[in-house]
Amino acid sequence: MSLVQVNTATITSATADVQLDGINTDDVYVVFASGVTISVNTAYLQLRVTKDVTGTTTTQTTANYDYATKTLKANTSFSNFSGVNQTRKYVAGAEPISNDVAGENENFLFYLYNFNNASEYSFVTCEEMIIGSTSTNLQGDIGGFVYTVAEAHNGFSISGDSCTITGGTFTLYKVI
Amino acid sequence: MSNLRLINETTVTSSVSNVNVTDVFSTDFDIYKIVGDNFSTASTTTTESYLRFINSSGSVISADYNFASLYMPADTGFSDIRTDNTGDSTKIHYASGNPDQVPDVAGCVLYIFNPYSSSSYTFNTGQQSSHYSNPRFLTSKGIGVLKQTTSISGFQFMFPSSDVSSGTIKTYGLRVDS
Repeated sequence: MSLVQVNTATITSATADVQLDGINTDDVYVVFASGVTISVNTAYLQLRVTKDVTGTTTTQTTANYDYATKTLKANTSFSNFSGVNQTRKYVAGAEPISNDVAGENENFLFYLYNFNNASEYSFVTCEEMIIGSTSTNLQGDIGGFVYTVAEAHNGFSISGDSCTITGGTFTLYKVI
Repeated sequence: MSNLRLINETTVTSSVSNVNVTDVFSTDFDIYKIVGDNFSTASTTTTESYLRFINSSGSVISADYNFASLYMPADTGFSDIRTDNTGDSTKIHYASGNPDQVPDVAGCVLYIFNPYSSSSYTFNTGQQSSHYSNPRFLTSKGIGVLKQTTSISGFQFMFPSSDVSSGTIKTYGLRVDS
């Protein structure tokens, strides 16, 4: 398997929405994010797709996100995290994120399918690692989500809910 | 050219209880991919496989691990394997599934995040597949973290119950072009 870089963003100051665009073929793409930090302890991160709207990459916020994941937790039993017709997929079972201890940050791996195809939905598989604030323990979702609008999507969005993203490296690769 | 760069290939050629892969993490990359393949035991005794990290002084770290893994055997119910129900923070369950004697072998794909950084915990995600103690087919998928900000330069696959006599580990760095 080869990975060819398409886009990257290194965040060093408060950013509301990290958009990784550049998807323009029918290949599978993958997003890696490492060392992600947020501005508010116990806030949330959310995932969405982006679309080219008259030349501007725009995060899609309509209630068309369906998700189904298993939330892995180091400190207690795993749980199911699912929803339909939502406006985003929250990270790690919507667990508030701990960012107030040195060393804590978030790391992600997302595979993107069918984004360039205007006649099919866009699908994502997730592997997530955070430190949860209510448990100060490792937590993350495995599973996926779909955006149920048959249109082309040019990228992926990671944004804060009640916070901004203050650090991290986000990179989009094409899988060849 | 692929942004995945092969850094190291380690092959097991004799019976060993641990495989150490050292000096593979550096400032060159933040994310690494590890592919384990064809692990089998020297005897008919199967073994678990665990992951531990090696610091830049060459010492194997044996504390402060958290993990959560979905354990999925084909012949019985699934279970949660996690730090608090195993009482074990000395290693990450699992590395490469449960090897047994050929033809029962094991393999895995792992990703390691920020190991070399001295300001970040070291995170990992991965999945494993193996067949052992006929007829058990086992897959697992999980996440882990070393809750230390120690700079990590390598890793260890542990095989506590039986030596392995075959297996290959390939370590790749995932390049980011700025």
